[in-house]
Amino acid sequence: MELNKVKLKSFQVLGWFSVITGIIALALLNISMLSGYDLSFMEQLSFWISSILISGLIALFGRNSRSLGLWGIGIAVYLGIFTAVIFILGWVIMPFP
Amino acid sequence: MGSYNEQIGSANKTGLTGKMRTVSRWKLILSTFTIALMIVPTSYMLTFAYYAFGTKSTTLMDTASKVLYLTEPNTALEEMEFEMEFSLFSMDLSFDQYKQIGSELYPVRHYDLHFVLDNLVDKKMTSNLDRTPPKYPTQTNQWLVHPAQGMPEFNSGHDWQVLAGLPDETVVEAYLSFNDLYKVIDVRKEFPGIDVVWAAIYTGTEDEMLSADGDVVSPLGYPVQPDRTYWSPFRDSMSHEETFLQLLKELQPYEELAAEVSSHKNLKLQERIEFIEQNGFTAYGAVITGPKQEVEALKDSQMIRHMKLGEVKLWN
Repeated sequence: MELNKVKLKSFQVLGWFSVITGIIALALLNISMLSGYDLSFMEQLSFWISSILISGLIALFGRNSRSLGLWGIGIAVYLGIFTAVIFILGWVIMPFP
Repeated sequence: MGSYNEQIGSANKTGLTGKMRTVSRWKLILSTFTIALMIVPTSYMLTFAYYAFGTKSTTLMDTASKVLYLTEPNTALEEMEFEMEFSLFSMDLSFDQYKQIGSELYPVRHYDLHFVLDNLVDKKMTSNLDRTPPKYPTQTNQWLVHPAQGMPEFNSGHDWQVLAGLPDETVVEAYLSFNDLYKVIDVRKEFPGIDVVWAAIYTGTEDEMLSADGDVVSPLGYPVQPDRTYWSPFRDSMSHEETFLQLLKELQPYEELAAEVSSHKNLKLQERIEFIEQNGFTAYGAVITGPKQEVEALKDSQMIRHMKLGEVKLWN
């Protein structure tokens, strides 16, 4: 009973962790784009995406934390699509390195 | 006893709903944040998509590059040195313009163009030229003058004197206006030891520098020397004349933008392309570069009506 409670609690904590990390990542992305400078954050984007994704996936297993998990995964997928679009279109619109 | 249990139950329930309310409030706040923070990255993706599939960034770059080759005498650009920067719904394009003086290329101008989508909203140009062409070209202040035009605003005799007074160890750029229309090949034959770098082509409007609608037009012409640089639109061109006409046609859909990039306000490409197609290519002026002494020796040429001295550099 107690163990179950701890398990549920940790799913919820991971869910919130996933969402909040996702929001921080989005905020940093905004800052780096609006300031016009490449922050070191952009280089670590894959690390951020994977930690949001992993914690979100784990949070999916708890019934109460499922929505949080989906939310986190949503942010991670958005960041992934953003990186891919910018990378691929970047090649198209800038014909030289 | 019963009422006590009920009280406890309702107290627990209130606590639970209170906690749930806090959680749902936080969820609402954070979801608003999430959506708000997605606005800028999404706009960024839309900007990139616009420059990749809408009006292409490379089209804007090519238009800027072509119009300078065709309207600014003796121009070369290096495409590898084009810098592009993208921000929300806008693009910055900056590059250097070069001139051949003697046998070397010198950077003479730096352009900073700011586009919002495909509109050129800001153009900054810094110039290193010692002799700057008129900022606002009019009917009479051009440096290359058609034979049918009256006296230009510059004093040709004075420029020949200045040329004569230059040290022998210099190379110069000179703008020659002819006393008739000539084929470019004949012009090159006439000036054997000298590089003819740009030929100004008669397009039916240069006798008065006015279009059919009465607008002051730009000179149009093309680089004469073979250009093997990778970025030049005249690279591998078998006939510069044909490439010139081809480029004019390619510029036509973007004429408004091209006119904004150029220092000349009107290109009037439609009527000028038609004129060239009917009458062929004849030059009324040319820009040459070479050692001072050899340019000075042209003073007696029957072909030349006016000479405007351009840039002067030490021997190279």
